[in-house]
Amino acid sequence: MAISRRKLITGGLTAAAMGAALLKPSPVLADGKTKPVWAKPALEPGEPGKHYQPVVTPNGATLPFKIVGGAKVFYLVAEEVEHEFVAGLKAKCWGFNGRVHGPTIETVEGDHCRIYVTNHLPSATAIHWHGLLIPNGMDGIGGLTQKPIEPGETFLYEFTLHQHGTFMYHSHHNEMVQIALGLMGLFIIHPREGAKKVDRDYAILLNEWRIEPGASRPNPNEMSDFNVFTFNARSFPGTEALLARTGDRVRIRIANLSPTDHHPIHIHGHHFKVVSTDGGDVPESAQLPETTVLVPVGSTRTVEFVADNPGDWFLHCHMTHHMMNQMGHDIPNLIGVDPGVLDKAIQPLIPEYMTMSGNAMEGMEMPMPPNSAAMLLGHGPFGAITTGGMATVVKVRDELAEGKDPGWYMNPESPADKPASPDQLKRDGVEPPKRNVQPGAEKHEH
Amino acid sequence: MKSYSYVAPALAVLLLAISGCRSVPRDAGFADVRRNIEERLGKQVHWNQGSTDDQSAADSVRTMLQRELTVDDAIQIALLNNRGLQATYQALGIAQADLVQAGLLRNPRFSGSISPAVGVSGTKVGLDLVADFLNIFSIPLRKRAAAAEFAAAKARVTASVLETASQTRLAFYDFQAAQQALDLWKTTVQATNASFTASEQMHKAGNISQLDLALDRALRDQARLGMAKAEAAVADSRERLTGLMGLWGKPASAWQAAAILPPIPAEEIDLTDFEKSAVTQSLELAVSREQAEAMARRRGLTNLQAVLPELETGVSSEREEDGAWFVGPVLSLEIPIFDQGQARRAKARAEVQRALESHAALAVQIRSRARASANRLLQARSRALFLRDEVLPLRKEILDQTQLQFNAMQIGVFQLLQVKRDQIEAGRQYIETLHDYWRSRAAVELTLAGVSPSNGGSTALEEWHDSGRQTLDGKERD
Repeated sequence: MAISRRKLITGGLTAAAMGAALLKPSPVLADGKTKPVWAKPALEPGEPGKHYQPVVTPNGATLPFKIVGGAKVFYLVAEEVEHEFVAGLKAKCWGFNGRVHGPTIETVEGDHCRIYVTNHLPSATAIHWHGLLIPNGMDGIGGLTQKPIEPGETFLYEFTLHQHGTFMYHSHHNEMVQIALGLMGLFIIHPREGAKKVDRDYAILLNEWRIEPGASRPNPNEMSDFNVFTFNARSFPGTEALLARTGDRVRIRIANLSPTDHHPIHIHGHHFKVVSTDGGDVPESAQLPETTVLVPVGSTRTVEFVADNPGDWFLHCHMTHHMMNQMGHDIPNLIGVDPGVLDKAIQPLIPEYMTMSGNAMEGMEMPMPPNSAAMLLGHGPFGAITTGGMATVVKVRDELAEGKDPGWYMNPESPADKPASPDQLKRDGVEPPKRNVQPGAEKHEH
Repeated sequence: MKSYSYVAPALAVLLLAISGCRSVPRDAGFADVRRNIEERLGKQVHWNQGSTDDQSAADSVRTMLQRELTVDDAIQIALLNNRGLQATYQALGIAQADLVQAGLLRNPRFSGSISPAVGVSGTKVGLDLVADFLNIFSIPLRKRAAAAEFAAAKARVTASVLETASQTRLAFYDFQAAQQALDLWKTTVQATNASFTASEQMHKAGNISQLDLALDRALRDQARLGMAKAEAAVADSRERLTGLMGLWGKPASAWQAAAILPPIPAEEIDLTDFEKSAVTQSLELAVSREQAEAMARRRGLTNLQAVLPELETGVSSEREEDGAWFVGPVLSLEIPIFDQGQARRAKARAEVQRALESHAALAVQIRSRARASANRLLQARSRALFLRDEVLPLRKEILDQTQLQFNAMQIGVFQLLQVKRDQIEAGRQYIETLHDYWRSRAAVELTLAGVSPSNGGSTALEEWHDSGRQTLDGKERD
């Protein structure tokens, strides 16, 4: 679609003035000395490979750009997108350029960016650049810094970046609805010089949604009872694995734009250090060592570690309900209840009935509402993995073919993958006590 | 002196000749009733009068009772076995007797006296023989009035048979509906029992409070009460049907009937010109018409009697003490000086008018009831079809989708069982509406057969009678 008009947002500089900023000294503020950081002159546009190692957005994509007259030009189209969260669950979300979430914008400190945004949504929107130090007129707040972008209109956001880190872009008009429907993406700014080298650089955007099983649109009115939790808009087992060769230095940038919940993101088998936030880099002596980094709503946390432990390592939000796909919370507690008794009482009335007593495996063979991922389980080498939601696997291998998933890790000695042998028990003097058979412990049939 | 006249014996012979030996036929027009019932209802009736046919009627009843009864079986049994109907048939005998009575001449009267003299010898003897000959002129009118009343009695008896048949039909449908409702209540109790079982198990495992357990028990108790009421309704309706079929003792508890109401038939009763048929077929209007006719004849009788005074003629003989007989004709005559019958004539005229107006009123009422019956039938049909084709499949879909949400652990077992109970409730609604349909249809069929039922179940004729204008057997209330 042809650009209808190039509209510069009020409160800032005109296009000519912006162009002039490239050549002329920047405006001086009241005290005569300080200038906002965006007022510094731009540098030549950074290019992948030459100025930076590109970030990998698992399950996502990077927004391509053009270089026009010393500026990096990006083009975003905000539109409704039919998006698959995990096999079996699709919904009509709001995203950019046919993707949910929007493609990652990757820039270098010093880039002069021009980002055109066309609105193909059914309602007005405005795009805010979270964490970016830019002129107020480009900040993207509907009603405060700009008139909203009406459906069909195209706006231009233009600014020079003089910072680096992990940031986001998201709707800032009718946020409750538009963020809940997925209108967001990652915004990476690499340092111009002195960038710390890593072997793997991953970026993950966290979000939470409410989608009724059988429905096909997220419900933006939900405030606390979410049931779909995502890394880059995907739920386990639909999340792409993060690959690393043994010994690789791995960086994982985590951004959280969930409507309500902070997420404690936990890694297995490794410790990491929190090396920066969306406010800047953390000095090395102050880098917090963690196995779990709490990423508050509206923040980013970047962690780094050395992948020195080969295997398949879960990376997940440690809130247990965030590791479920479309879990219902209004069900009675059937732990400790003999399912056979209920089956016998109810099956004469409803032949298809089978007691769901809280065992995650129970839903495996049962018919589900159409378009739902409830009771959906991943499958690993040892059977079903009773996890969903905000989880993925970090696969560390000695040998790794680039870009190819290496499959499951086969530990040469898997000491804990079967019951302890009698020899082991005897050697260590362990005698398991006799066990009362609890109701509900056994699987039951129709 | 013995000088009899030959007049007396001649008169006697004449009287005997006129009277004839009239006997009352036993059949009393029942053949007409039987034919009528066969035409209007397609069923057999039999009047137990001590003939050999009584046994074959009893045998066919016994044979029918062996098998699972259909509604037609039950009606046929009732028509043959109901003692109330047998009592009703006697009305024919009564009306028939009245008809014969109307044709009989009034008996002559003989009076005699013997008076011995007191103090002297000699006895007076007086012998009189008088008769009212003028009533011979009123016989045709009386016979026509009685004939009209006889026709009315036949119509009334036919109507009673139809009413009994209809009541049996309704009782049969009531019985089936009650059984189906009980079946559904049994399923509801099963569902609340299952719900309570879940609660009990959860409480045993320590997962719910005593309050939650008690609330689920209350739910179960309510369902049990509902089922108990349904059981009582089945017993009630069974007894009513048993009574109508005239059964008692062992046969009363032994009979079996199909347990479910028949489904809505694909073809509905043809209701074109229903109102007209209701009027032309109406036995009540026939009764009313015949009674108006009888009233008119009686009015003629009254008018005749106003003109012809009471007159008795005869022979009077007297024997004096000295033995002389005095024989001669005697005449007694009412002289209409004070009462010329004007009041009686006026009364008769008013009564005829009243009968005519009542007949017209009855016709209007029958038309109105016919329209109402037809409406009710069509409404019940469309409601039943809506329940069958839209609501019941929808409830099944809701249960199926709820099962899927249950499998996805979005809702729990209590909600699933509640949805099942909702489905059963819809089933109960359907049975009720189906019951309504068959009851409405029975009302329409009864109207087409010739009796107009009101919503409360009584016929137009009964209500008219109840309002006090006439006794049920057609005689005026004095």
